Amino acid sequence: MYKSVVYKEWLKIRWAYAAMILISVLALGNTILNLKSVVRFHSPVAVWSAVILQSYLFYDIFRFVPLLVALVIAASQFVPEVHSSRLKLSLHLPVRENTIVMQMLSVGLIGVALIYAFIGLALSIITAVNFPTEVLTSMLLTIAPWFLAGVVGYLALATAIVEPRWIRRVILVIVGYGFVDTLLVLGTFKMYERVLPQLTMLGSFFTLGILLSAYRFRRGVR
Amino acid sequence: MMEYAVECKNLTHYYGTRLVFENMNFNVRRGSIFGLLGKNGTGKTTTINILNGFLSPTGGQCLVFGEDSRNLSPATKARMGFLIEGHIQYSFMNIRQIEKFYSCFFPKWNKEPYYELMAKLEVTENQKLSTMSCGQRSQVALGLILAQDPDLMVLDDYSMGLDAGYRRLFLDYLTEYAHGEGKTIFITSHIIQDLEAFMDDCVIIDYRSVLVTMSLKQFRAEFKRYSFDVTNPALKLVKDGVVKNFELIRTHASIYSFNPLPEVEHYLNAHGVEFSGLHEVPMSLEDAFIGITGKY
Amino acid sequence: MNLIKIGRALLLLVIAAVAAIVVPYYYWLAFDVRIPITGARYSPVTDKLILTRATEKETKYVDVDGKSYTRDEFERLTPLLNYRQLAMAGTMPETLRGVPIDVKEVALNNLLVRGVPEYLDVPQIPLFPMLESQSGRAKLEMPDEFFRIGQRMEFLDAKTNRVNEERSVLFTQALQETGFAFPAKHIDGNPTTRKAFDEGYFVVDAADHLFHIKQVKGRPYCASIKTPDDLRIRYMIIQEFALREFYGIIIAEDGRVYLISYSGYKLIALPIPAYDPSTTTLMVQGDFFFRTISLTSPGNLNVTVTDRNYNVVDSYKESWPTKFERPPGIIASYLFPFTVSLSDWSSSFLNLYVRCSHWAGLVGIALSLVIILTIWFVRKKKIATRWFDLLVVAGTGVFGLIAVLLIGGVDDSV
Repeated sequence: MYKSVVYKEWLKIRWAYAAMILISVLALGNTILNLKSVVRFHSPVAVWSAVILQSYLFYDIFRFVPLLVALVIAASQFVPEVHSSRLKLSLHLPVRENTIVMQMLSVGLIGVALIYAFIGLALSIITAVNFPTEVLTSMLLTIAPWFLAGVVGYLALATAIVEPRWIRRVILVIVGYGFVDTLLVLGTFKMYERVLPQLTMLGSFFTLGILLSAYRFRRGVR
Repeated sequence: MMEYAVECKNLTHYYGTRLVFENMNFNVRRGSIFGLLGKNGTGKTTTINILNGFLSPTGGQCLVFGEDSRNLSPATKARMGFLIEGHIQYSFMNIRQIEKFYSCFFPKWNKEPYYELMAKLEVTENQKLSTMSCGQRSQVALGLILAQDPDLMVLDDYSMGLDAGYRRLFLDYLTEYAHGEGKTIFITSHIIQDLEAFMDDCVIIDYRSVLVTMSLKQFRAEFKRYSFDVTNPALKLVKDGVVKNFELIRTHASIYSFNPLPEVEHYLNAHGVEFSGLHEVPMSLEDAFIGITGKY
Repeated sequence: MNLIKIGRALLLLVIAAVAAIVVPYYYWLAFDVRIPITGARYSPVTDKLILTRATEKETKYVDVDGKSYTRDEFERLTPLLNYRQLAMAGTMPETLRGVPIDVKEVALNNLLVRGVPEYLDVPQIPLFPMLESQSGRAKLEMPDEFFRIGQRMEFLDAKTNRVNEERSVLFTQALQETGFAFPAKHIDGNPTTRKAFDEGYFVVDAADHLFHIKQVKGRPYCASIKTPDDLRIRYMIIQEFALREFYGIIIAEDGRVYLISYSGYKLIALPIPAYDPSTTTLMVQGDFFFRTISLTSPGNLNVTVTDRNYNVVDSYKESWPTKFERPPGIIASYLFPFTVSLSDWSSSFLNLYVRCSHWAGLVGIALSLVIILTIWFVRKKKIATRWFDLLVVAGTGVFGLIAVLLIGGVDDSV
């Protein structure tokens, strides 16, 4: 049955998903070309100096890409469900309601995570080829909160879309924005190193929120 | 085996402070075709939503196969086919995809009736539902329910947006399905005439109240329209136990009533109405429906 | 249903947490007051400290006896600090304290080292460029290699991103010969080419011993520095001054401050109280005659003036109410049982910096409880089923109140 859910979710998000992969690839291309051009016009050591001593984040285009990916996928997954109350169809399936909703959520999360893994891997390779491992570690610690922002954005937006009342939707979006905003502070590398575990834990609190929204949807709250 | 597929007990619902209906009681016999009739906005969809667990009633409860509709178990849901108002389905899927999707969820899934129905439509297998006409989509939704082979079908306004041909097609398939062992159909509609030969029992609801709860046969046999001429063009009759509805156009009057002719004649005399030419007028089901719900 | 309730409870906590960050942030954005920044300069003319108080409108100059000065007067009283201005105006004195004054000498003797909490506790990539300290060129140049000191000292070539074995072995051996225990705990230097000369790096090894490493004509220069046995180094601020009196400053774990002098790397303990580098800014300012060492934290200024041999000449202390002790802060402590901030002046790292309001916070909590109970009473809600909400409000006050009001009940249509 999970396969069926994957199938349905995939049908909804596939074009958005392809677009998000394309955007990720373009952003990676941009990063590589940027790096190459800086090396060409300056020297390799000038780039190292900038990256190591002046906190030049050559990958900073990825500050918003994970969030964009997450929001687009959440919207493409859940807007069709609430449009004309289509979610009733899923909730009427002979599966426990919480189960089917969490299955839908997990498909989106896995989809988002796969793109993140791709971006993370590609950036790691780009960094490892050009810089010492210390820079790689720093890069991973720097992009981690951006990915977390994406995951939280996904969870919060999904919860907001499924919620039947507009006023609560707005509240959820504002809370989600507030949280995501704290994860996207522009600054130096590794800034979030000490607070990442706490923020990850707090961000994970959004996970079950969609069950509340779905429950309210099913109960016909207006 | 329980006698009833659906039991509604003292069902009351408010949207905020607006009363939709109060103390609605009806039972749907197993194996029967049950119609919930009423004009638009009288709470048909509200009732369906409560029945399917998509709405918590303000008061009372609704039992489906003995289970409270607020907490339907997956097993019970598997026995219920559900047609959402407007034939809503996953419009981002095509005919093949949607069948593939649902097939995994239902133990008794049988795709033959579905594809049989689809073969009759002028659509290709790869056509998305969103590109189909309303009538075609209704057939897809119906086909899926037939493939599910449920014990109880809940059809919310199957006729919405359908022309006469599709409505007939829809009912033909339903009739065939209803011949199955112990299959129950719960149907709502605001188009009445199609259901005349189809329905066993019915509830007719009006704004805030239930007008009729009986078998269609009984309703057809007992609900009458009597016409007569009056001399007083300002005559007013209040609805009561005898008079279910009263219409007056100039001097030509009609009374709708469950009482036989002599009793109505007696009633008119007792109320001091000057009348002549009292006689019963035959009605179609639609006439009767309009007669009991009023024209507006 | 249980999962749904847990989902709601967790959302409630997240909303309260976000509120605890966002609401105080906007509160302070609206009500923050600018507190005059007080500094102190020692006048070699009057032998008195002159305090500078910068408000948003103007800077006031007052000496410790309460005498006010104009800006011109202040500049004339602190000629070594303002020598450029005075030289331009032609009012630079010929002699000071009986010593003839030469502008070049003044410039050479002026020093300034600052230890600001948020620049001390800063994220770092532990890779450093080893500049050539005697290249024979007028300007310093960035080398092609960065080094790390792990189990050995390694040089990485930026062109190839590979280890330069030859130089790695060379420097590692040099370090080993001076008794260095790998890996390094601290590496501090001043890796920039915008300075007159290069003194390389001061490194604390695994055994807490201090070493000096630099590159001289392509060869390693390593020196072991004798330090007090109980010295545990927390920070080092290395800065090259042409005066070549000290290499930089050591701030110890226990808050004491030392200078690393050029004469045999002798550590000079500064005659100032131990201080907390995570809350207090240290400023060591030197001129031809004196050293002025100030410790500034919100609400406190502690200045010590010494002669050039670090014997105390004068000192001054001042306290003033911080923003938390002024009306907006006091009101805040009643409103919020605690506040959470993502950033703090104590560090460049983000963190959940929690500030508790202690007893005053109970007022806000009590008020929030009254409000929520009144609302529930008016709306005829059962309190028994809402004990978790009540608990959150009791624990987080207004933030919990906001969260409870925003998220509503499971079935609420609000």
